[in-house]
Amino acid sequence: MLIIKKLSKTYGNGVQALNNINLTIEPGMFGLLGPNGAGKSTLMRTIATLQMPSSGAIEFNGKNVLSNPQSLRPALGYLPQEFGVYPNVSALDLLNHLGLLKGLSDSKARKAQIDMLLDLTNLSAHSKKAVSTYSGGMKQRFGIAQALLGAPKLLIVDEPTAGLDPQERNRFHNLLNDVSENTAVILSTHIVEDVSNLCPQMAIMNNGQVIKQGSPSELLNEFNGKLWRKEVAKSEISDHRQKFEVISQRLVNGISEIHVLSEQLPDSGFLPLTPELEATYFANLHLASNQTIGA
Amino acid sequence: MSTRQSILWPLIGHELKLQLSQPSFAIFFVLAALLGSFIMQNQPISVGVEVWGPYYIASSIVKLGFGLPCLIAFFTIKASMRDFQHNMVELTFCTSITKSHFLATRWLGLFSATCSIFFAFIGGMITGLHMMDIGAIDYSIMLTAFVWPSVLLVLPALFLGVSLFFAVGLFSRTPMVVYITAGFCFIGYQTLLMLTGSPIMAQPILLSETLNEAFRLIDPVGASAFFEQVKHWTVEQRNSQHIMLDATLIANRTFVLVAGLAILGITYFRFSLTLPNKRLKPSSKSNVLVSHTTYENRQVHFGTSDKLKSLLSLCKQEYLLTIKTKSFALVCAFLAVVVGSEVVAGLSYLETMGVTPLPTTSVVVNRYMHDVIPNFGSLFIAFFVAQIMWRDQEYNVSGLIETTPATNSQFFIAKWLTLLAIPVTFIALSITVASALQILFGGAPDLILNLSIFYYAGAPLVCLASLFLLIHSLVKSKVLGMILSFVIAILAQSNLGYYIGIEHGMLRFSHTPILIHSQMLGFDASSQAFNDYMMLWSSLSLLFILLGFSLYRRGLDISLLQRIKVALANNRRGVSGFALAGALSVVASIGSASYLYYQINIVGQYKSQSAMLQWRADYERKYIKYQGLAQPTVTDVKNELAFFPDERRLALSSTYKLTNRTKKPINQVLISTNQLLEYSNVDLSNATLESFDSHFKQYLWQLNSPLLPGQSLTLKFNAKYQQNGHNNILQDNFLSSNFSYFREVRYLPFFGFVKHYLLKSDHLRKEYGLAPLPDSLTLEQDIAHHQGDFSDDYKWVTADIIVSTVKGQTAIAPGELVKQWSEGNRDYFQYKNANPMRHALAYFSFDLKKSAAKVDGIELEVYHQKEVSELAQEHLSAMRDTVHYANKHFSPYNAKQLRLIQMPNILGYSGYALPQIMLLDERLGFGVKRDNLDSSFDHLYRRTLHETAHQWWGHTLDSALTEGSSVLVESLAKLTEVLVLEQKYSKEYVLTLVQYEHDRYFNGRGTSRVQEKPLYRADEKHLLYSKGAVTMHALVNKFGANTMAETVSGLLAAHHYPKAPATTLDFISQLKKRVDSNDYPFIDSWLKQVTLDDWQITKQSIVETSDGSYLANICYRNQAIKFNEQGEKLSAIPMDSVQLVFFSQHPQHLFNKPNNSHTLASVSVLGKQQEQCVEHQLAARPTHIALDPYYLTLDRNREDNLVIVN
Repeated sequence: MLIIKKLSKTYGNGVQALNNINLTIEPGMFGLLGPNGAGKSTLMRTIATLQMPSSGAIEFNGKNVLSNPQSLRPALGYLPQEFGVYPNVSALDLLNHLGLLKGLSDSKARKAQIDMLLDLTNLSAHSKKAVSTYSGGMKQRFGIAQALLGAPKLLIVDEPTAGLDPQERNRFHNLLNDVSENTAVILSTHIVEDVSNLCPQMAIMNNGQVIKQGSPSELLNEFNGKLWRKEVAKSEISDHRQKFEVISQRLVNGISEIHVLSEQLPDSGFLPLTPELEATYFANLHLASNQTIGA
Repeated sequence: MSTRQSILWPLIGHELKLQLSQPSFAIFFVLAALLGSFIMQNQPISVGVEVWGPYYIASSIVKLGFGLPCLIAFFTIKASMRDFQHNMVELTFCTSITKSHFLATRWLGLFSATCSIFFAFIGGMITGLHMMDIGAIDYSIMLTAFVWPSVLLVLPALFLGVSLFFAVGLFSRTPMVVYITAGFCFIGYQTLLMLTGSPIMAQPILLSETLNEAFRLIDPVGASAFFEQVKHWTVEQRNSQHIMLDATLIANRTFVLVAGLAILGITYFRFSLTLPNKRLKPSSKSNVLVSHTTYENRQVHFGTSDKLKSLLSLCKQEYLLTIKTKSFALVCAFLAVVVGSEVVAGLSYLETMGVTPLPTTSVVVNRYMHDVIPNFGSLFIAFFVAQIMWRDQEYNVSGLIETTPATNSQFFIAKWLTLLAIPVTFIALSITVASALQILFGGAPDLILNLSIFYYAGAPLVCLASLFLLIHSLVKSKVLGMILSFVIAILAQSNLGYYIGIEHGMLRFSHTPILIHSQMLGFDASSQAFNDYMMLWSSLSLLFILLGFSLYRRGLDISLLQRIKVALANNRRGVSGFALAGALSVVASIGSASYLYYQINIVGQYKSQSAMLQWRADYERKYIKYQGLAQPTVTDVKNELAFFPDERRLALSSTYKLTNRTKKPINQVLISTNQLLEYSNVDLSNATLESFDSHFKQYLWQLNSPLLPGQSLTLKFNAKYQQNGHNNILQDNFLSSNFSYFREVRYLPFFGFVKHYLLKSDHLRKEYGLAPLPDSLTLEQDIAHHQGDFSDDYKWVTADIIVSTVKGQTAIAPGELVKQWSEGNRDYFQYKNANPMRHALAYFSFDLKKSAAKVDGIELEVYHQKEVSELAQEHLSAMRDTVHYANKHFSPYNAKQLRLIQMPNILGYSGYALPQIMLLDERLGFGVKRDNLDSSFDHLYRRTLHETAHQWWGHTLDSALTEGSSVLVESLAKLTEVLVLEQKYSKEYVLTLVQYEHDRYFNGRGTSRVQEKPLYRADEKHLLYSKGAVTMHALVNKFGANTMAETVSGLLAAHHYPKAPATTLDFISQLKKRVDSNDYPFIDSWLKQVTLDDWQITKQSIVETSDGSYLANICYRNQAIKFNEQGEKLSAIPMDSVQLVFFSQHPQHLFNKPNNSHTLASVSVLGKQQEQCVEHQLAARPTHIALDPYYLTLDRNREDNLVIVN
C-alpha cells in the first residue's frame, strides 16, 4: 500500500508543483486525472524516487520511501511520460540491461520474461533494432515492456497510451488490468475515458492539489441532476458564459454544445446531461478554479 | 528592393546578433584582447628592434595562426549546426529562405564573429603596447604595421579557415568532427612549421628545402613566406620596412584565397535545404498484435552475485556507449595519427643530415608518453567524463535507469570504471600504433617498458578523471563542469598557471614530473618523485571519488543541498566503511602532501621564480659593495668525495689552497656557498669569521694579516648534497643508483661578489628596483681595461682527488688513476693531476663497460653500456684521430688519459667537454643507426671529434673572458672538425657539413634578436658554430690546412696557461703573420666584418663553335652587403672572388663529390655590384652553371646562383 502524506514540492523558481497531497493507494488500478500542468508528472516522479519533495512523506508497504528510496525501487515499475533511450542499443539489449538492474539475474528467467514482454508489446519482430530508431508508438510499447520487467508491486505509468493506436491502447488496458491484480498501478492521464474504463479508484488533480478522490461512481453521483447541456450558436457562447457556469464546451456533429453546472434547469433551452466521468471531471475543475479565484 | 533582398538584410542582422550576443563571444572577445596584450608585453624583445615596428608587430600577429582553427571551430557550431542540434531543421528549411541566403548569412555571421575576435586581439596588442615602458611611437608606421599584416596575412587565413570549417560543420553536422578537424589543423600546422624550421617554433627542424617551398605556397597564414622574406632584415629594416608582396607571398595569398573560394563553391553546389536521406528498410514483419500471451512477473534477486552482475552490465553499457560513438572514434583516430606521426618523426630523425636513431622502444615511448598522452588525454578525459556523467540526462533515460533497484554505488563505480577504461584504451591504442611502427622500422618492442606506460601515463589521467567526476557531481550544468575540467586539465599539463600564481607542482592537481625514458636509467631519474606525487593525487582522488559518490546526482532536480543532507544523513546512520575510507583518504592525503612538501621544499629547496628573482635582487643590493674587491683564487684542490648512489646523496670534504693572484693585498675574503649543498666546518686559515649570512649563505672572513700577492692560505670545508628528483632535473648533477654525476662548478665556493646572480634583463632589473647594468665593454675596450692581460681570470688548479662509491661501481674524476682500493663495502679511487687544469672538475659513479685504446702514449677510454660496444670503438677511433692530429699539429696533449662517458639522455647534453673527460648523450652518441652512412652524415664521428678538440680549445687554450672568447673555443673546434674530417673522409665530404652550417647560420641570423656582431666578437651560437664552421672552411680553403694548423699552434704556444690568455685578435694576428698582406682584407671580411653576399647569374649563353667546343658567356653580379667592426654598413664593397662551375648534370648531388666527368670546368671570377661577364671555352656542353657551389661565401640567396642551360 502506498501512502502519500502532505506532500508538497516547490521548484527553485518558486513554482509550487505539489501542494499538500494526501493519497492512499492500494493494489489495483488507480487513476490520476488532471489537466496539463496539474502536477501529475511531478507527483509520479516524486513517487518514483526521481525527485525529492519539499516536504511530506511517502510510505510504501510501511517503509519510508523518501529517506530510503532503495526500499521502493525493487518493487517499482515506472513508465515516464517522456523518456529517451541510448542510441544504437537494441530493444533486446536494453531490456536485458534493465532486467539485470532490476534484479533479474537469472539469465533464463530474464530471457523468458523479456520474450514474453516483447510478445505482449508486439515488439518481438523488432527486438534487435535500435530503440532510438523506433516510431513513437513502438517506443511507447518498449517503455511499457521495461516498466513491467521483474516483479513490480507498484507500477507508475504516466500518460502511457500517448502515441498508441486504438488496438494497442486496448491491448495495453487489458495488460494493465492483468497486472493490477497484485500490483498497485497508478495511471496518470488526462484522458478521462482511460480512467473511466480501468480504474476503480481515482483522484483529480489541479494546480498541484488533489481536488477530488474516490471511485468514479462516487464522483458521478456528486453531480447527479446538476449538469445540463445545450446546443448553441457560436455567437451565443460568449453570452452564455457570462450568464451560466459553463464547465465545458465541445462540438457535436459540428454544432457547439455547452455543459453547464447548475442546481436547477438554467433555462428552457437546456437539457439534463446524463452523468459521465468527463463531465464530472470538468465540473470539479471548474469548481476548483472558482475556489482558487475566490481565494 | 526585391523581396529576397529585403529578407537578406534582416537575416544578416539576425545572424550577427545571434553570433555576437552569445556569452561565449564576449568571453572570447575579452580573452583575445588579454592575449593580444599579453603577447605584446611578453614577446622576447630584440635589442634595437622597436616593439611598435612592422617586424615586431607582424611576427606577433602571425602567431595567432596557431589559435585560428580552434577559434573558428568554436563559432562554427552555431553557424552551421544549430538547426540540427536543436531540431530546428524542418522549421528552418521550410521557410522561404533560399540556399544562397542561408549560406551567405551563416557564413557572414561566422566570419564576422571570428574577425571581431581577431580585432579584439589587435586591440589588446595596441593596449598592451601602450602599457609598456617604451619611448616615442611613430604612429604612422605603427598603424600600418597593424593593418597591413592583418589584411595581407590574417584576413585571407580567416577567409579560408571560416570557409573550410563552415563546410565541415554543414556536411558533418557533428560538433566533434569540427573539433577534431580543428585539432588536426592545429597539430598539422605546428608540425609543418616545425619541419620547415619556422622561427616561431621552439625546436625547428629543417627537413627539406622542397618541403619548405611547398609550405611557403600553402601556409594559410603566410608565416613561412613572411619569415623567409624578413630573414635577413637588419634592425633598421625591422623598424621601418613593411612586408612586401613578393612573388612567394603573392603566390601564397592567391592560393589561400582561391582555396577558400573553391571550398565555398563546393559548399554552395553540394548543399541543399533538405533533410539528409535516410534509408528505411521496409519491414517484412507484421505490426499487428497476434499474441495471446499473458503477463507474468519474475522473481528478482538482490544478492551479492546479482549485484555484481548488474554492475558488470552497467560497466559494459557505459563503456560501449562511450566507445561506440563518433566522437570516441574520432578521438582515437586523432590520437593514432598524432602518436603515429610523432613515432615516425622520432624514428626517422635523430639529427640533421639524415642521421636516424636505432628503433628502440625508448625512442618510441619518449615521443608520446610525456606529452601527447597527458596533454591530449587530459582534455579528452575532461570531455568524456562530461559525456558519461550527463548521458542519462541528455538522452532522457534517467526515468528508466534511475528508478531501477541498482544502487548509487553500482552506478558510480560503473562510471568510474568506464573512466578508468578510457585512458587504458588511449594508451593501449598508442602502444599498438607505436609498436607497429617500431616493428616497421626494424625494432623490437619492449613489452615491459610498454606496459609501464599504463602506470606512468595512465595514473595521472585516472586521478584527473576522479576529480572531474566530483566536479560533475557538484555542478548543475554539463557545460560548466566541462569548462572547469578543461581549465584544471590545462593547468595540470601546462605552465600557464604561473601567470595566475599557480606555479608549485602541488597546486596543479595531477601534475607529475616529466618522465623521460633512458636506456641507461629507465625512469629512475624521476620515478620516485612521480610515485610521491601519485601518492598524493591518488589519495586525494579517493577522497574525490567518495565525495562524488556521496553527492552523486540520481534523479531530477535534486539540489546539491538536498544531496549533501542525504549524504550527511547516510553518514549519521553509520555507513561505517564509507566514513572510514573517507577518513583514511584524508589522512593519506595529508600525510602524502606533507611528505611531498618536505621533499620539494625542504630537501629540494624549492623557490618560485619570483622568489628566486627577489633573492637575487636582494643579494645584489646587499653584496654589490664587494664587487671589485680583490679575492684569492683556488690553485690546488684536495677533494674526498663519497657517492652514496642508492641514497641519491654525496658527501664532500675539501681542502683548497687559495692564492692571491692579484696585484693587491687581500684583507677580507667573502665566500659564497651554494643553496643546494649543506656546508659545514668551513674554515679559512689565518682568518676570523666576521659574519655568516644564512639567508644568502655567505661567509665573510677577516684575514688576521693581509694576504700579499703570491701568498696563499688554506680553506677547508665539508659539504653534503641530497637529491630526490622532485624538482627539475639539473643538467650538471644527477644522483641515482645506476649513474651518479656531479659537476662541481656551480656548487663549490665562489670568492667575492657572485656575478652570475645579477639580474641581466633591464626589464627585470626595473621590476625589482635595480638600476640598469652598464653596457658591457667591447673587445678592444676590455683589452685596454685589462691592459692586454686577462690572466687574473684564470681558474686553474692542480688536484688530488679521492672518490669512493659502492662496490661494483667505477668512480671517475679527472686525472691519472694512481690508486684503487676497497674498504668495507666501498671502493676507492684516487686521481692525481700534477699539471694544472681548468678548475671545472666532475665526478662520476656508474657500472658501465670500459673500452680503451692508446694513441701517442695517451690512454683513451670510453665508458658505455655493454650493448653498444661497437659504437664505443667508433668513438675511440674519432678520439684517436683527433688526439693524434692535434698532438702533431697543435700542441701535445697535457695529460695521460682522456675519457668519454655515455650520459643519460635526461641530462640534455649532446656533447660536452670537461678537462680530460667528455660527455656524450646516450641517443646521439650511442643510439645512432649506422647502416645508412652512405646517405647520412657521420655526426657521431664529428661530435666526438669536436668534443675531443675542446681538450685544446677550452682546456689547453683558456681564452680571455671577454667578447669573442667562445669563438676561440667553438669556432676553433669547428676548424679542427674541418681539418680532421678532411683527413678522415675527404675535402668534398666536408662540403656537406659546410652547406648545412651555411644554412643554419642564415636560419639563426633570421631569428636572432640582436644586431649581428662580426665573428671575432661573436657570442651567439649560430655564429660560433655555424658561421665559425663556414669561416674556418673558407680560411682552410684559402690558406691551406697547414697554415691554419700552424696559426692555432702558434696561438697555443703564445697563450697557453699560465701565459696571458688569448683573444680573437691574437688569433687574427697569428693568422696574418703567416699569410700575404694582400689577403688581410679576406681575413677581415670573414672575421672582423659581417659580409652577406648575393651572387647571381644574370645572363648566360652557350654557343657551339666550329671546332666542336662550346663558348660560354656568363654574366653575373654580387649584391653584397658588408658591415664593419662597429656594425656600420660599408658603402664601398671590395671585390670578392668566387668559383663559377660548369656541370653536365644537376650539381645537387655533385658538389660534395670529387671532381668527376660531370664537373666540366671551374673558373675563379671576381664579383662586383655591377654586372660582369666572362667567357669560357668548354669541351662539352654544360647543362647547369653555378656560382659558388662549394659554399665558400655566405650567400643570402642561393636560388639565383644556379642556371639550367637551355
